Amino acid sequence: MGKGRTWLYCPGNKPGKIVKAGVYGADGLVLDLEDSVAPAMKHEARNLVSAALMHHPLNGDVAVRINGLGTDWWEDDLRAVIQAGGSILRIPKIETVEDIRSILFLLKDVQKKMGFNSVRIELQVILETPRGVENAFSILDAGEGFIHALSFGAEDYCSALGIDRKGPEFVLDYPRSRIAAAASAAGIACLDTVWSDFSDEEGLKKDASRAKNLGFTGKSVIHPAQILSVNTIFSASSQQIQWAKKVLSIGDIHQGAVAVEGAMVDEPIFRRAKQILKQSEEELHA
Amino acid sequence: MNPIVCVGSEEKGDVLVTLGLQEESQTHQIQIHSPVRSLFKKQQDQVVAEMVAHYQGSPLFIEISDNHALDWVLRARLLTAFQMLEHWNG
Repeated sequence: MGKGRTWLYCPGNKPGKIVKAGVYGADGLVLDLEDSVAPAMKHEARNLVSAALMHHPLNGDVAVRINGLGTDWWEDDLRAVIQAGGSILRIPKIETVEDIRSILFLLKDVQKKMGFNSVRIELQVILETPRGVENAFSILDAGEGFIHALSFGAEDYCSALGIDRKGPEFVLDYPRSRIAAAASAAGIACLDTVWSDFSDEEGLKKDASRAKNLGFTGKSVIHPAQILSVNTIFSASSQQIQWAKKVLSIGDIHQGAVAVEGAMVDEPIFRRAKQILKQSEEELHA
Repeated sequence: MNPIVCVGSEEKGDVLVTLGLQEESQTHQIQIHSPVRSLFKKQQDQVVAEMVAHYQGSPLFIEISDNHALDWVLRARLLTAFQMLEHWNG
């Protein structure tokens, strides 16, 4: 779980949207209790999401984005999701090792009271601030193996730095690179920030391609119209698959680098070819 | 009816639940308006009965305006409505 090209956000207080969310082809859904739900509606949304988790079959992996640790709602959100049988929690605005420890402490406490001996949930952690981005590696180390995806949230990050989210393409290269490196070091998925202008498909494609080229494995989306483009960008292309098959056709590398179609192929490139074929197989059978 | 609590919406796939105090009867008065009432009367009545069974207060007027909501939506909206009523009652 957690590896998915697209994660579609769905407001937790809109049951009509929750019911339809699974038909659009996203690899994962994020039922949202945070930014898309007004403060006066948090309680209602929590009950709706709990009921959906318990009673409504949804295609793909389903995460719930709870409210952040600085709010009055996050503990009740976490309890409700665990008790409803949710398996993936997306936690916003994580900044420090202490934040992760607080989450894990409550998680284990709730599960213990429910009679489970071990934690049965996966965490997706959203890093949205400069402090969170800088602490990416230590946050993962503190996660005790429960963090299955790192996610980047650009809006708060840009706001903190006073930069324009839609400025030159390089503005987010640093945080994206840092997060992607930390995720890769931990062997987990890396999910990019949303593109909020869902009428701007070209902007979405550029943004997603930039993230892919920096090592991200998927992207969150806010509208079904964004799913196809993002799925395509984060899938192995037919050219990549052909190349990978050619590389792997030479067999195992025993004697160091070899030449394939005029290019050097050594162990890292051989591994990359294997990854591409493995990913395309997974997508085929998803 | 003196409405106290109103939860939900009239959007497609949702249901609007209104709870109010009533003194005309010793039992709850329940009105369900639904475009699919004839098809799903039994299921809707069952969900309402289940959720009402947990409520121990004064007789209520319960009005449900459904717009093609699934059972779990009705269940969640009723749960929220009764929780808000308990909070209002202190």
